Amino acid sequence: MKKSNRVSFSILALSPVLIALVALVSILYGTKDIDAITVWQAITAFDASNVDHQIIRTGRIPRVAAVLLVGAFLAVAGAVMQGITRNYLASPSLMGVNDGSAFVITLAIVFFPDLPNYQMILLSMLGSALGAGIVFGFGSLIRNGLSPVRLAIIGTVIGTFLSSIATAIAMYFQVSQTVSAWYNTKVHMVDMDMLILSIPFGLVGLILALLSARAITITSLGEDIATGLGQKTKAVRIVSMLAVVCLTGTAVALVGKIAFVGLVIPHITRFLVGVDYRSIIPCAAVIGAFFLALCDVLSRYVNYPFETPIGVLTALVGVPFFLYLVRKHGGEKRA
Amino acid sequence: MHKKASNVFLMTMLMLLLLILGASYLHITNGVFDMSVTDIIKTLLRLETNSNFDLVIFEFRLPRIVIAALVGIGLGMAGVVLQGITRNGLADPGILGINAGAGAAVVIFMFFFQLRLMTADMSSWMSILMMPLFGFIGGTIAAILIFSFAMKNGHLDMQRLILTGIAINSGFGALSLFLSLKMSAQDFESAAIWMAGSIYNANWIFALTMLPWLLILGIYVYRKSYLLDYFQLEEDSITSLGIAVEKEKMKLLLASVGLVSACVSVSGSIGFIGLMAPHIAKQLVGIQHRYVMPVSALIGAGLLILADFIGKTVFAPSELAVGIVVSIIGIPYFLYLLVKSKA
Amino acid sequence: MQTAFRMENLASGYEQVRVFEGLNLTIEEGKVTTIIGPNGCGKSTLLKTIGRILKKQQGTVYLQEQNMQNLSTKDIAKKLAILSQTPVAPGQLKVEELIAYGRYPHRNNVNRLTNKDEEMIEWALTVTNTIEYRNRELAQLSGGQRQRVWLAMALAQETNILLLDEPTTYLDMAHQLEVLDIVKSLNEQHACTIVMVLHDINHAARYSDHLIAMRKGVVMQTGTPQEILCAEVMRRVFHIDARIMEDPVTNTPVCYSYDILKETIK
Repeated sequence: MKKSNRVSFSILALSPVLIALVALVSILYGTKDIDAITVWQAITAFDASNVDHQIIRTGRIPRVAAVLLVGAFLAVAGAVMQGITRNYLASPSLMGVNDGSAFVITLAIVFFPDLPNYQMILLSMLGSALGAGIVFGFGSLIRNGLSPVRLAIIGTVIGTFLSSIATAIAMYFQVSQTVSAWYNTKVHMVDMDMLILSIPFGLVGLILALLSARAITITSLGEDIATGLGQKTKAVRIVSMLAVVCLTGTAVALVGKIAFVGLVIPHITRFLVGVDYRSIIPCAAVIGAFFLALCDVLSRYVNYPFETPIGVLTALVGVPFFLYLVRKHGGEKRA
Repeated sequence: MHKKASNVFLMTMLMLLLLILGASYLHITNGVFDMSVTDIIKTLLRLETNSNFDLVIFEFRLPRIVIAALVGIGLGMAGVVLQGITRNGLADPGILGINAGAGAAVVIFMFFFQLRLMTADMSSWMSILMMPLFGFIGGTIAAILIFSFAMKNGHLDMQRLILTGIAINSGFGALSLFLSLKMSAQDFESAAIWMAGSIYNANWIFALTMLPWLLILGIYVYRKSYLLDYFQLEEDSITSLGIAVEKEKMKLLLASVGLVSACVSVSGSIGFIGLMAPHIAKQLVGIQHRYVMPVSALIGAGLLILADFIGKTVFAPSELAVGIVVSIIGIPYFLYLLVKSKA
Repeated sequence: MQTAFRMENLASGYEQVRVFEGLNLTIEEGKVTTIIGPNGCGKSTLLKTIGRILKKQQGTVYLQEQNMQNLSTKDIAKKLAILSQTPVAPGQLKVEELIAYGRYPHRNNVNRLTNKDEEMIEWALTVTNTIEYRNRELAQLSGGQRQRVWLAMALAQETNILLLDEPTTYLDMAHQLEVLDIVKSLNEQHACTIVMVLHDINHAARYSDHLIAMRKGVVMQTGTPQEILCAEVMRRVFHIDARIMEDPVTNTPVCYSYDILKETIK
């Protein structure tokens, strides 16, 4: 316990430096060369007529902010899901939560094209809840359906189903262009208003997650034990699912679907800091933020001067990791 | 007893052929350019030549139907083989990631050999003929990856198999996306359409490309279909009967990967046909694979022609990729099977 | 006397786990030989290894004095049939169809059964007393019936040697004897060599010519039932204090009761 406390403390202490570093790199380097002095001026003495200043202010800064937030949101959402379901494969992308969001957003674009941003976020959250609801509902219909592997299979398949329907609808209404922009991550065109709006929504999710951290730790020991210790398991479940919905919904509304962050980061975090979710949740947040910002920087250089979708990079890390998890744990139940 | 089963089989085949004819009829008469039955019959029988009708029928609709049928046959047969050798009713080339592997290889091929060369002119024939071969290599790599990850103590672990498939799918999907983004805009467009699983830019060359694969491997797999009966027993019993289990499974697996790759190289990734067709076939003719195999092939063909018909008419004038239509139909079926199967 | 199996320095097991090694053993032709021993002693592993269902890790097995390594799996299937402990088949399969599977090693034309095939299937149905439900589906059979059908499939393989891995598990008392009686008659009337694994030492003694007693991967003792079913061997093999008498009807030794040993033996 002592040792893992120390680890989590040093992660949290070091994180501002690391995150500042990756953010700085992200702002300094991009397709267009902009020197550090201009960057500094863009921040301190903004000149609206200067194109470089515009790029920094409306392009790179919102972008890095969005990536940091989304990384943190998804990692925490994944950690909460893994803890509460005691399922080592639980994560927003594998359990249909991401797809639910993107699906509802598609419907919104098609049927109510001019919704204000905050309603978009709310709808996206609704979609998260819908996705999770369908997948877990289906899982509980099937014998053994809530086992990690079955749930992952159901989640993926339902995700594919939702995205097929969304594609079909988008095609019918001839808005596939707009829709695919939502479905594929769009970190390079973050909407400033959306970014600002997403902060309070995401914060609610983070706070809910932190508040239930202790209860999640106990739940991760097993439902029977948790009940035996006098925990209101149902209430814990509802609060933590609410946190997941807030976090994932906001993340998808902001940049679209990103896979594997919510799966990989919680595992790495747990490996580093142990099993206490009071440490896991904040650490997962900073590690997730750092990881996604790093992927974003790399995505500009993998295929320079063209940008690679960030999802390709997270998949590059995520797929081998996923295979490793499957190889190691198979069908066993364990978070 | 044998008499009865074979009668059922013949009747089923006949009904399915009629169904395919019906679906083809729907497909050929409907479209952006509506034609009457008499027009079509006249054109087909060369009683009357109208260059417009000729173009629409011979260059657009007929090759498309033929390719839909061929792809359906290939996927239907491959599905029977995969479900047979894995003893898992949920195995499907799309779910297992073989589609994605073959797809990534074909994207690599397109990337290096430039898709835009692939028009109907003779000089590019060689490169078109190479596509299934590339697909086969990619599909085989995917299959080897999947099976080596899913092996546990020398036996296939079914849950791992599907999970590995999910991972392989996203991995190869990301690779394809990455490569296709490096292509020129025009190539990217074609690659994107192709990857979604579509057959609407079908032409006779594509049909000819996959035909030899389908013929050779199809016949091979059909001739080996009796083995799949034995594979319904557990491993020890099969070995006891003197079947070289691992060797035969490997051969059948490679053959089915070949079938899938030929299909994927022409139509892109189309999932769930390989899942649905064998199940429906078994409902119709029982569990003897020499009956199941051809029936599943015809069901695959029929399903795909119908799905393509739906894709091209429901949202006309815009077309919905047939792969998406199949997913929308196939996934509920998959879930239904999942609910039905005992844990 | 010809030998059915001769093992030299045989070693086998699963993955990294070695179950037994350095095993030298002969099994005679035309006899019923039963391997007995406590759980985990390696009796099933031994049976599977000589039946080439499990790959040996070392050593040589001679099947009728031929090195098994040089025989193709199909040739082996013409000489020996092995019935595994928990065989699985689809429930919709008809009894007759399953038994026809047993003809695999003899079939060249895969779609038509020859007259010889039909004959052997009839014979297997008759011997195992399964003829009356030949057209039924496996799912409709009781456990005892199903076990006899599986036995029939092994018989249809038309081999001189039959390996049976606990053929009586999960069967009630009457059905156990039913299966063992069939086995006995196969040996007596068709000169079939039987090698099996049994849990019940009384059954083993009653139905076998030879017993092989194993413990922890080591063959402790081989011999006739009278030689094996004695207090001293039971003590060493099963760590029990066995009370043994002779069954006046079958004239074979019977362990009618036992206690767990108080002292430990090396």
